[in-house]
Amino acid sequence: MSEVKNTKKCQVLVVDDSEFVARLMIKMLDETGYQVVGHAKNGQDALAKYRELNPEIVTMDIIMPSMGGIEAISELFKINRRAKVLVVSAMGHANIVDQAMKIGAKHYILKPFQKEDFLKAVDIVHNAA
Amino acid sequence: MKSDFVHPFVDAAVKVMEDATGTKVRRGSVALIASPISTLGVASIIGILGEAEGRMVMDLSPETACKLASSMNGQEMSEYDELVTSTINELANMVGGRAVSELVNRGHQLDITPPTLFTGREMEVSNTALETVVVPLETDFGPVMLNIAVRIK
Repeated sequence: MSEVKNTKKCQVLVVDDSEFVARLMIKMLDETGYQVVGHAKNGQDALAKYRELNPEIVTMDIIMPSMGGIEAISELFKINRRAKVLVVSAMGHANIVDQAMKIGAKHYILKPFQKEDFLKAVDIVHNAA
Repeated sequence: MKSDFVHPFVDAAVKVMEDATGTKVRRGSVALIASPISTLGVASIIGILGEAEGRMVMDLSPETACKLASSMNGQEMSEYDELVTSTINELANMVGGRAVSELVNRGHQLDITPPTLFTGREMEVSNTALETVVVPLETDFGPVMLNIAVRIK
């Protein structure tokens, strides 16, 4: 009997109000075998797209208009308490990193980032329990 | 204005631009000026909130903006378009985020707003209640003026 391999790509939702950052992350993820299924520009948009697309990983910005990343992560876990969130933010003080990790984010990376650091962080979140 | 609040923004601007472009950034002489400040044509503004209030403005010409954006996107961008403005806004966001994070780590209660970008050749940024510290930064892409105006509440 031939071996059946699971070829389904890991699906990612990118949440960032910056078109520049979103394009950068989408390009890096696409080149590495992840499948970006959507892009949201604020927390509310992220929740709607998460319900619709059910991605395995969410990259989440913190400073965004209308609903920021911290509130969006809290709401996301009400939808799925096993959601895998990678925070990608320019804000990196201890209070906000602690807050994001306490409410359930799997990892936190600062902007600007190098490609290898970003992809390593995505892999960590992908492999997280 | 307390210099404690200015240095983190200057340090962050140099570090972020060097990291994002892989080039060296040189600081010029700091000047204190009264409002209004005239701009070089592209101004990305970050609001500062909390125990102090004010703003940081990253000010540059459209030509410098295109060259900086080209470097950060890894592609030639000769037209001043939405991707250029998004790139410059994110640059200001990363500078403001890093500076405010440094100040919060030192015990201050501060936050920032998302960036807003204004474009115009004859534009001035005005706030009569605040003096502005102007720090010229020389980059390989042209001059970038960092304007910081903060008042302790």
